[in-house]
Amino acid sequence: MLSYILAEHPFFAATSAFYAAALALYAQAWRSTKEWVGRAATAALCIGLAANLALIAGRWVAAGRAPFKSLFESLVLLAFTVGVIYLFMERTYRTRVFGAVAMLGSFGAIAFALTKWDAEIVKLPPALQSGWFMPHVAVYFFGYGALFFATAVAVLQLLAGRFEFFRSLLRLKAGTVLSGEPLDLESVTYGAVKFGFALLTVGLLIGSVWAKSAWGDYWVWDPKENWSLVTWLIYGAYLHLRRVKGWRGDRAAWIAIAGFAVVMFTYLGMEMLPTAQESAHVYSG
Amino acid sequence: MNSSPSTATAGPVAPIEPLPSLPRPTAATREVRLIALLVAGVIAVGSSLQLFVAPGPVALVAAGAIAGVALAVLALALPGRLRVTLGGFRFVAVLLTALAMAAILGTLVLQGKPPGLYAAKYNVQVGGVPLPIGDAILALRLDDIFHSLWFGGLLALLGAGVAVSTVQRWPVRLRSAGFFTCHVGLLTTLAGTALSATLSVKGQVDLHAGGRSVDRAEALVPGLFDTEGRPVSVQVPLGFDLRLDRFDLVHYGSEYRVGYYELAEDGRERLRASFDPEPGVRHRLPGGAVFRTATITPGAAGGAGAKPDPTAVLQIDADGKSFETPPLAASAAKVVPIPGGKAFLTFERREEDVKSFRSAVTVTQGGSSRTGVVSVNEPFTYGGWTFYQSNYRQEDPTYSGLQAVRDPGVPWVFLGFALISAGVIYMFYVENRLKRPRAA
Repeated sequence: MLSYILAEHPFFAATSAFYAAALALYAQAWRSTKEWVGRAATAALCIGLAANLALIAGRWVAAGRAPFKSLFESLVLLAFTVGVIYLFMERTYRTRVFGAVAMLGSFGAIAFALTKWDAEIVKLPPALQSGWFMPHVAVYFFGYGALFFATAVAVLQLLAGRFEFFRSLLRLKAGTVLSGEPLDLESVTYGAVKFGFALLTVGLLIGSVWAKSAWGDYWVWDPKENWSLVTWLIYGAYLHLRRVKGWRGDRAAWIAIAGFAVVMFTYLGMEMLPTAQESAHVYSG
Repeated sequence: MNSSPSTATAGPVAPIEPLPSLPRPTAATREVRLIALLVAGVIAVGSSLQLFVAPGPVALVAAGAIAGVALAVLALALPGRLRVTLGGFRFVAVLLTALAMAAILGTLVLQGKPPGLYAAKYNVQVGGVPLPIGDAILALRLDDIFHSLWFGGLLALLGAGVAVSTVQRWPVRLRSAGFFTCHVGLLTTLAGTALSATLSVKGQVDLHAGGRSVDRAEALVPGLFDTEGRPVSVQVPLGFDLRLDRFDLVHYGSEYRVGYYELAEDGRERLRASFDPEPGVRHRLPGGAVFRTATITPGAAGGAGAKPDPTAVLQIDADGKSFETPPLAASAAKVVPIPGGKAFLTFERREEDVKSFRSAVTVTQGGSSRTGVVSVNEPFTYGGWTFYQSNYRQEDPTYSGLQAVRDPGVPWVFLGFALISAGVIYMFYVENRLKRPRAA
């Protein structure tokens, strides 16, 4: 299978290799005092993202449509959005501390895609041939990328409160914290959740407008719709509870993690529901 | 533990210690209690009421609107704990969580099915003891959660909370415009969905190309089934005649592929990879072998309406051997085993999937007529009705099924969506910039 992927799908192989390299380098940057390690990690990520983008673009041309239909295609997109969102956060917060965890997400998505390999490109059914298809999926997956990042930071926040190793990561300067300023993990999580929530809101509403034009109903209580709503409601509760005394810190981190668990269930778990057959959204791949 | 008089000992009587007073509940505790009372009360009242009130969109919207408006007016008229609680973040967070739980429950229990199905599917016996779970689902109306009165009650509480918190932000300032806009959007959406639920009509129109015009749609009555479990429908006049002039079922073009299959342990064939049979291009197979299409010959169609039947010759390098296959006809789907493994190649034609279905229709009303096309994602609107392409029959190419919808709530729902989106983005990314302290 490896020789087949190297020969037939070189961009997939390159994406996997560079995400793995970025993961290793970002993890090394936790221990190294040399700045070039961190720079090399960012460079590996950028090359991985370029390969990932080429993979998506190539598939787009081959399929003659946005390659967001099957589970395999969506996992390739997820790997890309997680990486892009992380790179944006690296620039925003001027730290590489979260790099290893973020790359775990991108590399994990690509590795999982390998197990959901599409033997053949599938054609779009009539309902998906809509101008709303691309923005709906893209907005959602950038939102998922932001919420993955928020969850990764929330996990680090909880671990830093319990283990010295993770506390020490947040004090690192060379190769990791570029600004030298202490990190407020809670506000980093909050910033990512806000961004993810805004995208979830827009994605949910675009989906609703699309459903109206395709099926005549903007909301039909389909299981996937319901779980998308649940995701939105939980992050909505997170954003409201942050304004209530006593609900920051560990409690907020746990809600962010629970929210992402629901995101993952919405994305991958629909087949487990007893009402799955009622859904028009379950992945066939 | 109190000592009884008979066990009391003689001696100086000790002064009675006053009982330690319980700590006074904090404002937060009182708020939590009020929230719990409101949410539990709404669920209890809604669940009880629906035993006496016939279910349906009108009952749901009426009960929800009355409860929501009454609560909001009460909270705004009487300053105090109720207003503070309803307009507070904690209340909304609890409600969002309760609504999330209801939405989850709606995906665990089948919704809107005939009553008989619930007893058949969910009534079970555990150790010989019958557990009438299906009957309980019906009694609690968990078979139609999103039209139940208790769910409507939760929405009413949400509406009241959003209304109170929005009014508290009046007059609107630039620094709170995002919150205000987003919450007005939520109220607009709720109002739009209420209009949709009570005033919308959704029906089915069955048409045949060249057949008779229809002037009415068959609308299902939500949640109503006849004695045999079939949905009950009524005829709704459209106000004009609708005729199907032509129905086109458009397929994707024919496609030919070289498929690489592996035999799974259960003996079934599994497609692992698929290749464009472009002559001369070498391809590596998942098993490590290599092949290329040596030649491909376009086959002539066998007769009127028959599809072309091309043939391909493949050259395969596997397990140290190199060989050419005989001409493989796409129609035969003959398999070519790959040496050294449980895999084979085949040259085959893919089924032509449906790309789209389009109905050309004519509307006639009072001597004038108008033509239009209905296809998936491209509805056709006339006289307040919107027609959506919903059905076709492979065995009957003249048939087209359209969904006819008249929904006055849609513009309000979409306006609400726009306000919510704009409000959220403004709240998160504009307001905080306005709040930054000015440099000295």
